[in-house]
Amino acid sequence: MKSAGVHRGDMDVLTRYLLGMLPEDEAQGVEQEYFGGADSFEALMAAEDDLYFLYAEGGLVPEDRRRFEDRFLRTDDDRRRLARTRLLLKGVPAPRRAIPSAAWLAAAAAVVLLAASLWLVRQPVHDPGRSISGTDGEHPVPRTDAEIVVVTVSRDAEPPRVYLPASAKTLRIEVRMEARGNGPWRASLHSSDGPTVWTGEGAAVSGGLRLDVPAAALVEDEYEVRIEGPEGAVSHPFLVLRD
Amino acid sequence: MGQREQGTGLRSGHADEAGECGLSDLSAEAFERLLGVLDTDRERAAERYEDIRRRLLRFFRWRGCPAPEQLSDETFDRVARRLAEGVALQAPDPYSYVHGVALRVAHEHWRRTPRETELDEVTGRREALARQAEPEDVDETGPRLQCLTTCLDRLPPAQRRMFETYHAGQGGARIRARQVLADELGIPINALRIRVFRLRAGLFDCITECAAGSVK
Repeated sequence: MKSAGVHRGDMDVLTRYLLGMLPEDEAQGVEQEYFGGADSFEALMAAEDDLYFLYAEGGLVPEDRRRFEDRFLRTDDDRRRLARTRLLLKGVPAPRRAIPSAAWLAAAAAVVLLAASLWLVRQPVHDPGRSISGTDGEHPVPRTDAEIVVVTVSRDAEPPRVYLPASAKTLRIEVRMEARGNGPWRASLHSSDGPTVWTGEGAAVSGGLRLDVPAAALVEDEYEVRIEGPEGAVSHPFLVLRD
Repeated sequence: MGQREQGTGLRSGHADEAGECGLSDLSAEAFERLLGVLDTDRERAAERYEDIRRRLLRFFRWRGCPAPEQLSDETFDRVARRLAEGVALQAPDPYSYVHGVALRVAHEHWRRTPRETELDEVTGRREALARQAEPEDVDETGPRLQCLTTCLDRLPPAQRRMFETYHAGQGGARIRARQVLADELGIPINALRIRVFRLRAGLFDCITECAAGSVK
């Protein structure tokens, strides 16, 4: 039986085993190696726990998410475990929290300001109430009384902050991506304590996707926007400020 | 062996509602024989039994079987029946034999219920589950969130750094950060994974205890 000192490449094998993606002979090979010893079995348990964290972060591609849900989100106990996972993730300082990568996003854009500028120039109607949020805590968050407030998120930027006035009807989230691939893209918005507060489809725009979220659904909180496309998933945190 | 006490016929001898899965109605004697094979000391045997059952439950769960408890019971029943028939376990670790039986149980289960059918059912259940309201005690806000901070603050600095570093970053950067951390600790990456797994379990125990105290 293999000891706890397994090598790094095993993690991928364990993940594929847990998601039911290994051929039968390889699955039995994993069981032969990992089910016998206490340490090695605990490695599998730990790999399962890591999968909950990956899922909670939005770090699994859609196919893996479906497999995970089929196996690990079947009961109320499973869902409680996921909620516990999300709770513990709140203990990871936000700037350090994972922003998941996937193959289709490996080539995704990070050129936020340039892309945002280009995108704005291309808009047929300029909304005077537009606001691009500050990108870190050192800059003041623009205040506006616009009905549409815009926040831009991207992979390499710090989680932005956006001020939502009472007049705001829509929070427009612009997700920056250089290589977007083909849709459709399922989008969802999650509050800091985990629940989904909005779901919808992303609209393709130059340089990324656009999501229009009813401002009424949002309170002052940290949110995470998740995008799932045919080729992968991504999520970005951002902060909403209210009066 | 609480769960087993509520299970099928092995000890109690009552009729089994899961007969279609081939569960037998074995005697207490057969169950005792099974325990005897696991260890001569009955208490240790009971612990071994629970440990094996825990692994079987995971095995069936990880193999995507929809009823791990039922199939684990069926596995034990078959093993006990073999023992009652006089079969002697040759393997030094009884689990190897039990696991072999579990594999046969799983394969027979899949022959009866093709995986595609199960997946359709699972997908239907999942969607139904997704439409349900969150279980009442799923809400991880309020006191628990405050307790998270409290419990994180109680962690020794090295452990807190381990927790934060392990979950920081993404992709290749995350892998490299974990490797650096493992190297600093002088342990393999998988041992680090296990340490963090234990740390998280302890952290959540602390939160649960803290939250229970804070709502009194």
